Amino acid sequence: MSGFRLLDLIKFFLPILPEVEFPYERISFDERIVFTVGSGIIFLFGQLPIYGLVSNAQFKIEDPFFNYRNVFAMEKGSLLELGLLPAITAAFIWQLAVGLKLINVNLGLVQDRELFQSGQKLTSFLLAIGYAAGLIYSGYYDSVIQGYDPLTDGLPIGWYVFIFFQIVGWSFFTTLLIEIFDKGYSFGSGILCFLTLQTATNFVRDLVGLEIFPIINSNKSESYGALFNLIRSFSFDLTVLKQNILNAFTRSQFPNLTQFYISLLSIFVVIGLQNFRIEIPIRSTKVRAMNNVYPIRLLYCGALPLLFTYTIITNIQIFGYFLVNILTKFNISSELVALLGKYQIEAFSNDLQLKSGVLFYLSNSSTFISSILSPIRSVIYVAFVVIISTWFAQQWSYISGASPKDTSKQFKEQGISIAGKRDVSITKELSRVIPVAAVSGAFSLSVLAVAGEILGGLGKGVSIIVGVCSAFGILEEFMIEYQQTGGNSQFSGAFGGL
Amino acid sequence: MSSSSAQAPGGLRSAVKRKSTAEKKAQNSNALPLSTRSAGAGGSSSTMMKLFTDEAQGLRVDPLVVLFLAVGFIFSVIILHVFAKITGKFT
Repeated sequence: MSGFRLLDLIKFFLPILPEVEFPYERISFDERIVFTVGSGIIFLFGQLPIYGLVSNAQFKIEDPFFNYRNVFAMEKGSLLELGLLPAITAAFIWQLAVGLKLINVNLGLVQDRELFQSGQKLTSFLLAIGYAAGLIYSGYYDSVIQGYDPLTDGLPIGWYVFIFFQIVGWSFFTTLLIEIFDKGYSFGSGILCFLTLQTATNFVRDLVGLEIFPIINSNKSESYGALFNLIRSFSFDLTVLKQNILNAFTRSQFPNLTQFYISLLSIFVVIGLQNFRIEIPIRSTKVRAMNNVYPIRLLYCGALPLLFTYTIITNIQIFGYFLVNILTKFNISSELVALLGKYQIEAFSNDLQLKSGVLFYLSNSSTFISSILSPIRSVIYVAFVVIISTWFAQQWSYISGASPKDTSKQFKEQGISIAGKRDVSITKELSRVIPVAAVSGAFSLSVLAVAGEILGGLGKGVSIIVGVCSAFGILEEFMIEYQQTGGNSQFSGAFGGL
Repeated sequence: MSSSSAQAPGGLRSAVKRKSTAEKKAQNSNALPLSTRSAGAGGSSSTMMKLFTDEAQGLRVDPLVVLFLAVGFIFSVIILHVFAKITGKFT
């Protein structure tokens, strides 16, 4: 039993890792609603701008991650700069490492499970520190720090420390808020609930956001919401109107209507896909004539394959950005750095767009035209997303605790059997359906996501897909819980009659 | 025949085959769980990503304390913004 285990390293950090207490007694339905809404609102407070940046910093930051930030609730220039990325990355790393048996953990033991969980939390904290330090070192904030001129002044260490503590501090709190959700105080999983919340708020804000911001490199200003801007600038002059409508679909500093329609289409398609399922007839082994169906959904893994794929792509892009900047600072020749990735700022949106290098081929285009103009990149990107998603779905359907074997074990415990089949062959029957459903579901979702990206969705389509799928999952949990309370909830008493 | 080689009724005839099926069975039942959910302790399901479903050692805090600290953090940032605005006005 000797030998070094990665898991044992975590023991050193146990005394200082905060741990949310388990509920002493069952949390009532009403309390769960209050906790869900309360932590959700507190999470959204994270959209507060970072202290120490100039005003409207979100439009002045030169942003290399504009394609991915929507998927992980990463809000530019705000406390949510890292969003949920550290937590999601940590979760995927650990759970896949155990599922694929890359590390030596026996989850049957309580101690190992506890260390496993603390490991995820520690990784999430460390990743947050790593990302924040990387961003600051790469000079991501240099152009927007208050009263700082990168050309003349020395390093603004004080501001750097301030920004670092704000981002990392909020990332810690986000992780703890997620823990409150996962410990059973609220509905659904913390990560997915927050993603859904953020996506929903942004979806509305993108359409009818009322704030008016100045356009960079110009003396005009526009509303944040695409539809609202169109209404505000309405004119009876046809040429002006035509120009305004074109602008509403193509503007790049603010959300545009193209992204909105891509999101809307994605919502409908995902809702449609949610309904596809195979119903396996089951019967009770104990009671006669108890027949029912066990549904197996096409989206067996929900949106997790897509989320996983984008976690990988985003991490590659972030670490690539760090590496490019570090190499540049150490005066490595620019030809070598360009092999990795070369950024070019786009004047209309202050986005840093990749122009060449390895990173370029793993990025998506911001408009439909640019995806046609660089076909090799589009093909590689599409293939990457689809292949990684389906691979993950295949693995996840076996390791997530809902594999054919686990399900048949569940059947046996509950005295259920597939109608017309022997008990022994349940696993075989289920494994004819479950992996196929998981893979084809992940395939269709990733194709949908990629189609949106190619048309210029800038990650909005992806975030909407993840959001809608998660919302369905959360709603399911909510309804099950609601039916089990038997209707003695204050909320249903107050709102039930509406 | 002697009693030592008496066959149990049913089952596979040759000892080698019996051994291999027994080994396979043992391997199946001893296989480590691949996730906390299959270990029977909650955790990520096929559609839900969950991280923290066990009670681990550590610095115990009440969920309400976490919520209040989070709000406190937000307010400290807001106060910094307000102070910056006020001092900026007068200097």
